[in-house]
Amino acid sequence: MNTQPGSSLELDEIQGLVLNGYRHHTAARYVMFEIVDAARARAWLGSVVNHLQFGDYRKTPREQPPFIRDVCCNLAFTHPGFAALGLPTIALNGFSQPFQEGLADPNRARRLGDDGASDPTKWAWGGPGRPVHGLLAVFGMHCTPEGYAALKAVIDATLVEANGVRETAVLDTVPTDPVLRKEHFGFRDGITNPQIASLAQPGKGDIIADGEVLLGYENGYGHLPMAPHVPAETDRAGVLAPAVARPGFNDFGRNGSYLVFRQLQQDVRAFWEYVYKAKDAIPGLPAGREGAEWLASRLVGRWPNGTPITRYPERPGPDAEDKLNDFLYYETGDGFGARCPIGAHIRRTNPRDTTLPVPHDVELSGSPDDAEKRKAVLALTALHRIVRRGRMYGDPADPVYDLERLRQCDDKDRGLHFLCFNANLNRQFEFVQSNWAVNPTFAGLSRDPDPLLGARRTVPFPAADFTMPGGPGCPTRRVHDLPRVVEVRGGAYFFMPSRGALRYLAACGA
Amino acid sequence: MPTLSLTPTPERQSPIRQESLTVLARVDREAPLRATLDALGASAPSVFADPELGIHFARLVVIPKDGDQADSSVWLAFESNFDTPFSGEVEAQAAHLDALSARARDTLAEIFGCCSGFPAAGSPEPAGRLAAYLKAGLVPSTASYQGHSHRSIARIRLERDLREIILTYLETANGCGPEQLFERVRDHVRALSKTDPRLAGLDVDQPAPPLPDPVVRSQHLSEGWAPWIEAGKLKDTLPILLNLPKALLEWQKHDAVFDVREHQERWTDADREAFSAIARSEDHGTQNALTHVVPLREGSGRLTVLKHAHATVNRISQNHFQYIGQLGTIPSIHFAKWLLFESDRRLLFFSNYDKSWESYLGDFVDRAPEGLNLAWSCTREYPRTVAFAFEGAKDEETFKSWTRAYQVPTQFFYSAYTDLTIETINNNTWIRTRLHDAPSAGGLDAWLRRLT
Ligand code: HEM
Repeated sequence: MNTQPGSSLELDEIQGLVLNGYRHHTAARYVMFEIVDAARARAWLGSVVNHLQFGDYRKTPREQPPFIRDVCCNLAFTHPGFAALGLPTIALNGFSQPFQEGLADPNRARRLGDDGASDPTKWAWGGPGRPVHGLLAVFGMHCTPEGYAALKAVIDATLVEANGVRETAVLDTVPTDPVLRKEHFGFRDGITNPQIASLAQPGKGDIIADGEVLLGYENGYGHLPMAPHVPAETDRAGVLAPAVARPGFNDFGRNGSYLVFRQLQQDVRAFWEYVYKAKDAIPGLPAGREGAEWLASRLVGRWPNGTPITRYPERPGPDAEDKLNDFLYYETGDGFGARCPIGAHIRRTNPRDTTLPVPHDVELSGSPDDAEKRKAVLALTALHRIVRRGRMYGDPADPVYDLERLRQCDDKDRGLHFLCFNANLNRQFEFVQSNWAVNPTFAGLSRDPDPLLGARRTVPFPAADFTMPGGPGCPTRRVHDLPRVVEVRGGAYFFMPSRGALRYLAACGA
Repeated sequence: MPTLSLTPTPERQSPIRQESLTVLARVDREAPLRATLDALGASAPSVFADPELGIHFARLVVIPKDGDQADSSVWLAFESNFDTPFSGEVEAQAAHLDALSARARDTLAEIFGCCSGFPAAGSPEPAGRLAAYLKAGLVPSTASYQGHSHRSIARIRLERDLREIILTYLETANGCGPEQLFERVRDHVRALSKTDPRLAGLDVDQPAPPLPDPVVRSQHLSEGWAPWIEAGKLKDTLPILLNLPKALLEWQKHDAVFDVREHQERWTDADREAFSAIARSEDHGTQNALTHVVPLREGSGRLTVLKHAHATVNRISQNHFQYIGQLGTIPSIHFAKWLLFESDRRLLFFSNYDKSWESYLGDFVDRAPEGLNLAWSCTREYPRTVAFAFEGAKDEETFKSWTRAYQVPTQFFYSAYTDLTIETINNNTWIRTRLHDAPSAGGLDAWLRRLT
């Protein structure tokens, strides 16, 4: 494997957001648009591609050019979007099936748990009959009124009918508190993300193959992910690389990545009201704030300050940045969930070295003390990772996330614009969402959905329990009647193409 | 000979085991059949839920023609996985078809009435004729597997309720040492079993009902290839694999294999509709049904290799995997079955699995590619294998896409317990068994941690 960061990735070709969350760009706005005139839109693409942020700045140390821009723009399209731009059918068919069918497909919605108030027919954008074609994501350095006005100016100047495109939805974000870095429920977020092998910092673990995120590189199975190809003769500008082992075709997908976008509305008051009430049924928990914090932290798998429950089961630990993510479960002596419950949000969205199912037959699955076994387990869970790039929207319910005040907060619209990248929607995002998060039988549990994402979904059956496996001297505890605290308000599957693919599109119908 | 009664008796006394059957019938009138099956979703579950039938899972599926064969037909397949007191397969299947013909007569007569050779309707239809027709259509499997053998529906449900009752008790129990806690749980269950109908027939002071103990079995069989070698003694497979005519191995290198890209790039609206039809039939409960039908590869010798490979898979599955609740190391299959039909030219695969298709297929690729290769390497377009057992399914995207391409929608699927995974069923049994026969001190911790 290549150890020099970035050297084997074609950084000039990859859009910046795939590689980097732009954390220092605190202001962000997402605009969904529709293509109303293909010819104009293609002409627009030809010029706008020069204003997008690509990964080239990562080739050099921060102090040397090329620098990251003050305003970073990135562009992605849905399947109907590529079709509207005139991408040849052969390439449209080469995308992965979930992308072709779209996030709002009813069979997909059932599997991902998007029912009731989250049903795609009720979405504010992206639902059936209201297709989104493209996404322009804009990031700025200043989350001040002037900073946002600058972003708006960029958007207003480019998303105009003269360019063949029309805005259909504008989604604003709010910056996270730079010190607390909390999401709306009051938990520190943005801690964990796997590293792409070619960009991995030496000494830091949690590495996944380049091809788990980017098309055109080997994935976790050592294969090139399926990618859309175009006939070479349609690439008149010669901007795409030749397809591997397929003469006469060029690779449209290379250096691109699938982007999942879901607007997730959070009911902060319902979450904390529930936690305050449910904690009283657990014997031996301290009353009031302390007990509530204890229970809520089991649901998430981290304390509000971000420290992992598996390391600090009794009380929050020091929130030293480099320690927050430096843990496995078995290795911490927590193979069966006596500290961090198996059903906690972070444990089920990334079980790390947890043997599945839990509680398993040591006789059959091998002892967790066996280092080889643990490595094999890690290798299996590593096939289901996503690179998260979400941001919050809506004002925080309380500036310092005081639990008592969160519990009594207003019900303004607030939540998470959940974004994640992956190379295989089936095996990564959809697997994590459907088999790990909303599945009430995850890992040998019987009626426990993800306490943040999955309570009371109709399929496979309404479930609303949360089990905290016992340990020495403490029996297994359980709470019931989890409320639905997150609802989907909109969403779409995008593909964020390479520079070459954008230039190909610009020349497409010419 | 035992009498056939599946009415809940104290489950300790009835040595119920599970059996499976498949009936295939040529379809004469496809459109009315499809209409009947589509309308079935609402009414049939109650028919199949009849406790006298003891059905764990049932499915009805229309198998389309093999477009490449002039003499191929459309088939109706009916599969049932059921409880039986009979120890022999033949008796068990006959008794189940008799019971079905008596208790689900109208439903089945309407469905099989669309099939060829069905006796003209009498009024009322005499039960014997339907049963005779179904028996004539029985097709044996070439290999099969059960994830929770030797447990009746009644037992599976009792053990589910027992676990729930124990967990509810623990929610408010005071902290104490494991021995004390265990005794308190037992006292609680003992008292409750006298009054709570969910626990009818449970007596924790008697020995647990016998069950082949997975632990004992697996002690002799370490992981990986050991069970394959041990249980099969390789006595059938090895000679085949070693003495394979060179030509056949050569042939394998030149077989046409599935090309994901080529397939996908040719997708038409009809293909998309076919995929939607499959998706519509999936993800309605914890379990899903997969129906897969693929022609054998052209060329002599394929059938022989396939039959031997299946015999090996079958023997190992019956003698080993069935007892540990994992096929290969796949923990998520309730029932799986392969069978040949249409003059041994087509291979049908049925399975009832937990969670999503992606997770199931992922388990295949990650945990048991060799076994699957053995089962399928002689079928059309299967990803290239080496010596029939290696590589193949390891080509993840190709294998998944090949499977989907030869899958057909399962029109009707019934499950007796839509909320239970194989893991949960086996875990519940483990919890229950140890409640009768108190575990040793070290075992107590394991018992407690299984209560989640
Ligand atoms: C409003 C909805 C959500 C909230 C409030 C939320 C909250 C959190 C929090 C507080 C963390 C811990 C911080 C960290 O490890 O970076 C976390 C981690 C994570 N979340 Fe979510 N999340 C939400 C939705 C989702 C969804 C939809 C998915 C994917 C299907 C997801 C997947 C993950 C993953 C993979 C991790 C990292 C776990 C690890 O590697 O340890 N989350 N989330």
